[in-house]
Amino acid sequence: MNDPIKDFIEQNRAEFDHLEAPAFDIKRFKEKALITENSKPRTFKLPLIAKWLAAASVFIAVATFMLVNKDPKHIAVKDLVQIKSEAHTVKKPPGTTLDKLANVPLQNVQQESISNPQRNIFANSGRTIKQKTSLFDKLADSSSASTRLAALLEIKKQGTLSNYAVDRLANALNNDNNSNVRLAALDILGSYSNDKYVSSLLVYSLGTQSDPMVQLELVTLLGNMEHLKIEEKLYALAADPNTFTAVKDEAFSILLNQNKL
Amino acid sequence: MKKQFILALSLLTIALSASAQKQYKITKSTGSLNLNINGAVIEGYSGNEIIFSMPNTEETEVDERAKGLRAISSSGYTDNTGLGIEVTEKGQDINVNSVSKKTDGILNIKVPQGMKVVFNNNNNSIYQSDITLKNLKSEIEVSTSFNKIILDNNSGPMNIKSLHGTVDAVFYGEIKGPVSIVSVYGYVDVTMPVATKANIELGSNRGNLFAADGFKIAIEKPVEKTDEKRVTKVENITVNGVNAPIVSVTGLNINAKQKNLGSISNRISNVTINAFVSGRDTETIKGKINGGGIDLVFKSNFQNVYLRTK
Repeated sequence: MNDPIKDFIEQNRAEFDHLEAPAFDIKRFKEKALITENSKPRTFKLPLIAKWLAAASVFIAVATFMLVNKDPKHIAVKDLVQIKSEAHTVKKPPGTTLDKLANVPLQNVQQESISNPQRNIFANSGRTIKQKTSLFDKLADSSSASTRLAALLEIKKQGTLSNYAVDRLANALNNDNNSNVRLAALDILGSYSNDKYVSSLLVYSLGTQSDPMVQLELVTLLGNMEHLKIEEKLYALAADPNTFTAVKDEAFSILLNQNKL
Repeated sequence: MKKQFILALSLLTIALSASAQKQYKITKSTGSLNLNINGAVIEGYSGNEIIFSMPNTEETEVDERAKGLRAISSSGYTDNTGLGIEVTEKGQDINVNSVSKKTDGILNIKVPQGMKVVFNNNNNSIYQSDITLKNLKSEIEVSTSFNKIILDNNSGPMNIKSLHGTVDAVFYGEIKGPVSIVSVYGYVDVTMPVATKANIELGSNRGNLFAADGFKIAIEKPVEKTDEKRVTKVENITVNGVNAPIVSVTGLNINAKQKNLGSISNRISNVTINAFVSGRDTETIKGKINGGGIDLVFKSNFQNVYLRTK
């Protein structure tokens, strides 16, 4: 075999001969060994519990962050009143001027909402609140449909609706046992159908309504309104063999009129 | 003497057999009577028992083979009255259910005037008997599919709904509101005293509303909506003397196209168009009679609503 080192040593033997092999210095050897040991990278092992503590603290931090961002309470009350007053609190049937209210500066709106008890539930008039709550209690009376109907007709006479009232009406529309009560609720909501929240509730009800009489009125009402994406729901009603015939016909004729077939 | 004796005896026997109606009584004068039967004549009276009876038809055959057995049905109800109905009491309610779907006669029910009457029949068969309700002074709730409903001399309040059946109602004295009578395919015919003070709502989607001259209805002014939503089809339009076929119509905006004119979008203002209006000829009248008072709602979707005076 070709060992270049061997060849080199043999060739330069003469020069190697006068060198002495260094004595084995055990001290130096020990020092070197220790140095290499110490120079190993310092990896420290975490105790197991510390790992869990770290994970828990990260989780808590993330959760708190998300909660804080979701929590509406941290919005200033002033801003809340402003948002509400610009959006949905006052619902009046079409024909009355709503534009004046939108231009009123915040301070005046706050004052108005306190002095005018009919505006919404945040009002401070104790008596009006009591009247309203008793009406809604009547609306929840499960033993008598006539009481519920009377409560609805009373709410209709008040002329304005709060968001809470709208929600209760939608609940009556979708869940009441009696068709006449549901029809009365639809009648009231229908007169506020220009409002976006109300119309979204009506569209939702179209998909879930089970009473054929109410379905018919709902389809007729929504079919006359524009800018609603109800074609799919109408199509589903028209295609379902279980739908009441009149409802099917009405849905079909609306789709036909809108050229959506 | 013998002849008369025989005559009297024979008459008595006939009389006895004729009056032998089957009856079932239950003592209750408050609460709610929930009926889920095919048809009935329900009459209010001033007693404290609910009396169910079925007038005997001439050909009541007694099935000899069925002696000792009871009739069972897939409905799950068992006849505990001998009249083809099951009557059970649950709390404040008396529940009456029909055992079989066949009707062998009209059930007569006498109800104490303090009881609420609830009638449900959403049976899909078109062969249903009429329902008559009379002389009731408490709340009435009726919800049926095909039954014809006759209301006579009740005071209300009431909620009546029928899908295919007609509703005839006669009120004599004071009416207690709210009264809501709604039918989809049937007419609604109401007779009531001229002096009734009421907030009335009459509505019909495809039919007409009729009222007697005696009623002076102070009609509430309807909220005016512009007619732009009623235009659903416009066929052709002339732009600068050139015929341009219509491409699309949205509300009052019309988009037309013509070779030399390109695409034209025009908004209509103060122009009369002979357009196809969608057939929404809903008639609704909301108003007050004699100053207003109780709430009355009478609606029919496809037929007429009649309001008569007493």
